[in-house]
Amino acid sequence: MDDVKSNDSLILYIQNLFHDSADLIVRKITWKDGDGIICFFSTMTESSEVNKQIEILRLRSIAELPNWAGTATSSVEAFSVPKLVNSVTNGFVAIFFPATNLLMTITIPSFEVRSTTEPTNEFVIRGPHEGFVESIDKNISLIRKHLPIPDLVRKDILIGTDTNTKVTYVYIESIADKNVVNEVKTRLKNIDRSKIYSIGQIEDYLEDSVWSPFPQFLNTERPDRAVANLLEGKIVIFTDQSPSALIAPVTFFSFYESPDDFNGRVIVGSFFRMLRLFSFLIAVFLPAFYIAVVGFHSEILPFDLSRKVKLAVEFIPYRPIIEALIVELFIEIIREATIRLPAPIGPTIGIVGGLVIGDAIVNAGLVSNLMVVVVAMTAISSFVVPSVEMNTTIRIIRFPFMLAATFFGFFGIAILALILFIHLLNRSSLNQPYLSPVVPFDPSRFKNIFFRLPYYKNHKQQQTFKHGGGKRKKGDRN
Amino acid sequence: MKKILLVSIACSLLLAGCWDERLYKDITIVPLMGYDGEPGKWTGYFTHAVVANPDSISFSTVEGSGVSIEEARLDANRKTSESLDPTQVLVVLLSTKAVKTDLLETFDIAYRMPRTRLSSRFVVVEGDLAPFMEKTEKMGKEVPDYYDETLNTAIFASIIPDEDIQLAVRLLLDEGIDLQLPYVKMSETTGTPEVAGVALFSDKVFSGHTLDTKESTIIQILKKKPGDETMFTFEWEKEGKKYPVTVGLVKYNKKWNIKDSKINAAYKMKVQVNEFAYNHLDEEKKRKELEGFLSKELTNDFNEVIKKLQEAKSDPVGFGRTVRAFHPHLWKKGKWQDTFSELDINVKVDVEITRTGIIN
Amino acid sequence: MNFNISRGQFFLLLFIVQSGSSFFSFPSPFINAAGRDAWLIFLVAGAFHYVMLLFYEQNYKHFKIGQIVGWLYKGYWLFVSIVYLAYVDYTLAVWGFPKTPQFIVIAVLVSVSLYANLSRAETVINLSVLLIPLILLFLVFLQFAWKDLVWTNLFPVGESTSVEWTKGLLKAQLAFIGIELYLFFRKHVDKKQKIKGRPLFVYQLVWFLFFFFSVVIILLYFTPKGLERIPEPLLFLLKAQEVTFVERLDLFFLYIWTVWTIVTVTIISFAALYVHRLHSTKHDKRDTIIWHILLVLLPMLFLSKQSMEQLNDLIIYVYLVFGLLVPVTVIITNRRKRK
Repeated sequence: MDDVKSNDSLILYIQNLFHDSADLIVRKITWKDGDGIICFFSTMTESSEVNKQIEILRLRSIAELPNWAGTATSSVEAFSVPKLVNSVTNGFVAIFFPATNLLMTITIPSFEVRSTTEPTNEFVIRGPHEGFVESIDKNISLIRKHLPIPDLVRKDILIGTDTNTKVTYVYIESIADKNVVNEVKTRLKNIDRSKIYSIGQIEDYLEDSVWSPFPQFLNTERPDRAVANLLEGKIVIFTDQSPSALIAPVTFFSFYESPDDFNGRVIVGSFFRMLRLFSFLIAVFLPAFYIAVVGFHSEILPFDLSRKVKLAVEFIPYRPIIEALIVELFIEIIREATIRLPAPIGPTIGIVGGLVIGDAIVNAGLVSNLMVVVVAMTAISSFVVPSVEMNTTIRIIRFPFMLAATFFGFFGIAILALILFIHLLNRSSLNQPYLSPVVPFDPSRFKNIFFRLPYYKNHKQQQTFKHGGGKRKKGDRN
Repeated sequence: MKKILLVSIACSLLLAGCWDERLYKDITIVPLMGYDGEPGKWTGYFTHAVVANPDSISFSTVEGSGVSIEEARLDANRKTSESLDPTQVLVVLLSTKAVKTDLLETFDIAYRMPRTRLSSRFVVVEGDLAPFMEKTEKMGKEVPDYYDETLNTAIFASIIPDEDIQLAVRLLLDEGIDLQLPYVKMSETTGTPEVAGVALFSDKVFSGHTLDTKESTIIQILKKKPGDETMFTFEWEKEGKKYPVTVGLVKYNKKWNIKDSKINAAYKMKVQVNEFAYNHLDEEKKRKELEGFLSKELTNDFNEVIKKLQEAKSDPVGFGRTVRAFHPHLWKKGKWQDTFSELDINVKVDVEITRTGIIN
Repeated sequence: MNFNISRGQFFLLLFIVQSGSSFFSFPSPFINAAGRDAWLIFLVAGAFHYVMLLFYEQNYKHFKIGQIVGWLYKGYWLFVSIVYLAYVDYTLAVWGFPKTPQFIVIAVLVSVSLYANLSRAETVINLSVLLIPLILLFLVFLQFAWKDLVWTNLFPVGESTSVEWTKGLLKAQLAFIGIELYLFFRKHVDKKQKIKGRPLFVYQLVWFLFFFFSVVIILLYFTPKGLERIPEPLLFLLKAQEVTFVERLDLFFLYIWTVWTIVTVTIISFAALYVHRLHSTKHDKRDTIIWHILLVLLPMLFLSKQSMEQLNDLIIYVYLVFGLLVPVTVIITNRRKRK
């Protein structure tokens, strides 16, 4: 009787542990040597499967197999309360045998996982059309499918005392640089915060310089992109329940590479890559250039063009910078609004916002039509980048350029461009140079920026800011 | 602390503003200018853009006067609403009186100020300048456009040299070559300005001599800087009937043989026949006959042009450059223009017909 | 400060410093002094440059400097930077910014150098990479003048007098300034990479062709009389070019050249601070900032046309002392000591 009583109090105790959650199932089951207590969340487990598994295990225990509890889905260990809590919250079925003080866990998860559809923000034309989902195991399986090699290593770290978020990093042992792997490990371990739930928070902790507008981690939801980067010796970082992976160390030019480059043909791939880099220049410099021309250097316009420009700007009440800010603000608002809008009315608002208001704002004489052309071209150019973060970065850094153009004309643009270049030279991604073939200057790899070369040659990430790559010595300033 | 410093610097910039800003809407384009006068007394005409409504642009002309061309502009500036910005000038018209003084001195400002456009062109006009600045009905477009396009067409047909004001000043400074500027007259029939040939300069000033369009074309060929379409028309007499023949220049080379005080210039031309109603060009004999005729006519014309140049003491062809480089004895004889006018120059033209068009 | 650079980086650095400011300031005084035979004189100057490079390469190991020579060089570089900054500021004021207060322009220019010098050493070393495409663009646009070149301008040959030859050779030294950095940075070049022989010759060839090209194109474009009036012939030449899509090419290249000069000043400042750090390691940041404050303040004293010209004359003699005399003395003394 004592036994029964203590079991009942145990059940109560466990229920208390989980604050009497309605979906928690705690029952007594009979086992060979006395009763066991089964405990799991009905919402996270396939209940019908539970019975089958228990039946199999019971038969095994009756047959008195050595290590009867160790099957593909189950394991056994010494009981402790945190272990119990941990396995139950993670969707395991836990069976506790008070008599032997053992805890058996069975994996019968039943999570709702989205199908691996192509990520909407990273479409490609050719190449695999699958994407990461909100389950870490599924994501890893997608990668392993591409790379059936033993060198592919997965490491897990639990972060956040309140949230218990599992952070996973994956790399290829034989290719990845050990220093970088260790760096990731230490930085992850140093995260000291109780609530961590999104990959963005992790990124803040991992980045070399948070205040730089340039992303130092590549964000992707495409397994093929992750795999290509793994093969270049990079590290891929996941958090559970997030479909995007962080890739590091990366260079500035990685953001301009798309899987399409390698799935397409050589010349086409090179052409598009150059087009993208060119669009970077347009997106950053075009509005500033226009402002400088209209405000300072109107003499550079050929006569036929200058007459058109003159017509356009003659009756505008504002200075060019104000004019530009009006249109920029307007376009940014439309963009931000269309993200939130439900799909059926999104295009309508786009058309109303873009065409109707755009046309009206020109007719009302608030803004010149040339400025609308310039800003619209800039906006479209900024969306050419195959990476969302870089796209936002570009949209932000063109504002300082516009200001510089207002104060100093071309001189301001030239100086700011130089400062931007120095800024980029100074950046690093997991201590690796961010502007890699440029720093350290390596003419032989320079062409990779502009051309997608005929065969996929895996190159390693440049490791130090010094010439020669090599090992880092103590006292280096990087 | 560092951030506060940075922010305050940025703010001070904002307060101070943009020193060298020249908002495009506050300045007006001046695509056409005209100058008449002599040192100490210049009259300038400025055709500037007027934007009365947001849809179209029109041009009007103001006049100003002063001791220099810049003072003339400043004088005219007071008569316009927006400031006259001479950075978009396409054409500068000069009266024959104005080019009697050294262009380099007159237009010093154009070369000294960085904002000037050096790709505008000088044009010499006949007689009074004012009517040339006016829009006539037959022009069909705005005055600056009219001049710009007319000049371009003339350059294309190698009637006038392709010279902007930068090239003009280089030619003025080069002792071995003289300047020639497009010469524009009022057409007697239509009353619109037309390109009438070139005005010849001797040393640094207008010599008073001009050449007609055919002669000026020959100069461009002599100089070996022809336009894209260079054509000559002659009348060929055969069996009592006259046949016009038009040939276009395809390719040619020049060879100058300079011996003390004698220059033999040989030009071998390959031409195509554009117009020749007599036909029969498939026969070699007829072709040779025509070639002989053309060579003779052209040799005559070329030599006549040289005579005129010597009369004007003007060497726009640039014989002097070669002489300076390779014949120092001849060069050191004295001022090149004087030496040139007394040289014995013979031009010989050899014509070869290489193409006859798509019929024989 | 410990850094390791590759052969390519080393030569790029050297090239940028040598061509930086002098690319615009060098042709006019040189050709005016040398006359029509300028291109011949530059051939001889080029040979001399190669001899200097060979001498440096042979002896750079013996070039060890003490504190006094270090301070001398710091002073020299301060002077060179000031001349460059004053020149670029004067040129900017004349060509583009007549009304902007000059101290603001200088402060903006120097702040870039300050930013770069507060960053890691590799940043300064690789800064010059930005200029490669711009220099190529420069050369491409100079080709537009092709149709306006007058070939007979090169002749007659051999007219220059011996006075012109001496003066010309002296003025040609403007294109040499910066070569002394060879002695300072040569030992940081990757030991595995060969420099002697062909690579050095290739560098000499690139340097020579670059300046020779600019000299020849100016000779062919301008008449000697016209050249006397123009202090920046290359800019003027670009200004005269007409391309369909844009007028006033000179503006763009004025700013490219400005960037070029800033990078040069940055590298020279880097060299000065590098020598400074050899002796004193304390107050790294403070000294960098002090150096740059000097760079802002001192050029303000020399912004008129007259002092511009005096400085541009003076810099040649100063360079001869520090590019030739001091290195030779130091090397010879060090060799003797070793024996």
